[in-house]
Amino acid sequence: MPFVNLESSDGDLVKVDVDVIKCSVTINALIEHLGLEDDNEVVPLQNVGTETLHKVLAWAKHHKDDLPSVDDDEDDPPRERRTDITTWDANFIKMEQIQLFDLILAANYLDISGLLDLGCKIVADMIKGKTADEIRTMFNIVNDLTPQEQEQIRKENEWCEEK
Amino acid sequence: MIDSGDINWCKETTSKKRRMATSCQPTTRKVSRTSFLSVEVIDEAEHHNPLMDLPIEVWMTIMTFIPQKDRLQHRLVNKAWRKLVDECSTFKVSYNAVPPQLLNHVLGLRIRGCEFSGTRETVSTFAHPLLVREITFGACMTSTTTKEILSHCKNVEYLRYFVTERSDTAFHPSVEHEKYLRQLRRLKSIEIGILFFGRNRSSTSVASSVKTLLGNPTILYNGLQEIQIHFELTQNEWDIFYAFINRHAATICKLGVYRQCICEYDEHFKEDASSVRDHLTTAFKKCKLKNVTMIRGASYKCRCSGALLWSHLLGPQSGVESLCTDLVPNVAVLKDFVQKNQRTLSKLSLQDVSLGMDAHMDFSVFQECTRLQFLSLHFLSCAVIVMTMKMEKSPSDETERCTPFTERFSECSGLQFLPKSLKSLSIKGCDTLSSTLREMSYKLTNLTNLYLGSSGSPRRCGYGMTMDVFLEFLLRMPDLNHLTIHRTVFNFSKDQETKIRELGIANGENAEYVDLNLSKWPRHDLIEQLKNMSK
Repeated sequence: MPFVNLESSDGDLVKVDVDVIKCSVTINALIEHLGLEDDNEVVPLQNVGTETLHKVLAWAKHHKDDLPSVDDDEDDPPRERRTDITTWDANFIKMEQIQLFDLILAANYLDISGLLDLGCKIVADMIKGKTADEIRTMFNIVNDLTPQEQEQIRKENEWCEEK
Repeated sequence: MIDSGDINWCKETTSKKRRMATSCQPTTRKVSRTSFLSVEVIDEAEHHNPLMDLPIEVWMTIMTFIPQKDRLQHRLVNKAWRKLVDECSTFKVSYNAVPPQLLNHVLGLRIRGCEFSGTRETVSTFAHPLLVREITFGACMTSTTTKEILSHCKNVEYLRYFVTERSDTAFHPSVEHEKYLRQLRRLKSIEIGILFFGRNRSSTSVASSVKTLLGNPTILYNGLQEIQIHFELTQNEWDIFYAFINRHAATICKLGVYRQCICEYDEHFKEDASSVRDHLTTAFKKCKLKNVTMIRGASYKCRCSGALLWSHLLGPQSGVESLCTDLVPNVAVLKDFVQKNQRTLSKLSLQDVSLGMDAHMDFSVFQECTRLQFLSLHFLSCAVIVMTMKMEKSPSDETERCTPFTERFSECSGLQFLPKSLKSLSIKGCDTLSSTLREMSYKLTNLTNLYLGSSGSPRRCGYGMTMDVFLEFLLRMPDLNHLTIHRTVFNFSKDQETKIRELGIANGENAEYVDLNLSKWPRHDLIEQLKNMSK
């Protein structure tokens, strides 16, 4: 089966090369689970809108020859990782925050680790190096910590801040 | 304080099963029930940042890309954010640096890595001992405390042990460590550092520590992939060390990294290089090495062994993917080796090479390494070599061998032969003339990352990364995303530097390095902006 029809949450059908979308664990599982053999059969994606789906497919097409990433062990605690982004990815990911939000959710839903990492790197880049005040402004957050609590957190932080 | 139930919560959310289970259920995207940040945000729809509604498992991934220093600062944002940081990320701590009154709080966090050193007799318990993956034992640990720690943290994958004192007994053979080491079923890596300076130490204690740690490898560490050993060997230890490798060859061939530091004090190495070569030959033949670091310091006496090293590491049977060494044979030897092994080199999964360089390097040796992606060149400083030599009896031909420090890179040839697969190049310790950089921009058009380290040269004429050269880089290297330039190579005017900072591509004001992130602008726009600046 070289092609598969993906149905977005908006009800639109998008025909895609199976080889392109092999990076999605969810779609692979659905194809297997639904026992699809015919090119005309449809895989419903209830959580991905048409616009986002096209974005996902553009990314998948560009990265279809990438080597599969090595996943961490399932019960492995997360560890710090590098945030290098290629030029193509950097241009691809330039979008409004609401679109980025949808793309990250889609990558999470479709279980595309490379795209999810890219989205997360971008959000991390927005946050990295910012002070607590800047984060509050950025996310429109009220500081509900008392001065005493803040002092306590500062003390707690001292033990592992890089000198 | 987080209760112990969080361990299970963490396992669940990080697992693929969880991701699939969550995502396959019908959900409404705009309202995420899983986000615990959204409740703390001011309830004004027009100001609400949608990223706040990302699910917890996504935030856990985001946290992995944020340095610990920043994450700690972000604990001050508000209560919800502190909870987010504490529950979605892990920390590395230095146990002995924590004041006693904060110890309970610190150990209540999700600690991934912990460094112990000093003489605290009792060790408080981690709230999440099974999350601990990396443990470093530093100086003055007692056998009792090392045993206690190992008995709790059974999921340790990386165990480091650095001895800096003669009296260190952390893994003394008289104490039964084997029972606890046997429980470390996930152990992937052991790193042992014997960090003495001088020869007045007990080789028996060192050897016994190594024996205790490596114990009976076939039983204890079936999954062990990596050993890193930093030894400043005496003659006796050298023999003990290789005897150990040979004795346990059946296990050592499962190891991924073999690291060895040999310093100038090593009389044995200096006086009888052939004996060392025999040891190396035996070890490399038996071990299926993938990642190799061989740092021996700047020793001219044994430079000849470099050719043999290359033939063992990169020869027909090699599985080496990553090589870091300061052993580079002279060009004639290297060329001969490459000629004999052309077919092999193209098949090698050689992805990462880091070399200490002498002058006259010919880069054409890498022409056949068509999978080479990362190359790091560190040109050896003559000053360092002379200083090191003076600590021991200097070789008589020292002055003849020391080539001038200037123009090291210019003397290298064959730059155009570096394979197109090369993505990242790091150069340190050479004169970086503007003309050399221009040559680079013509020939390394596929690079995505370039690191230009300190040159150490006082010469400033026609030198380094000027704005004109930088523009040529941007034009000819379309994929170049990150350019890191040491201050001694960075040759912009003050006005030019101010303006690139205004464009937001330069980080680290007044830092030793200028870090340029070129992906922030479309390349064409960036070039136009910089051209206008030049006018």
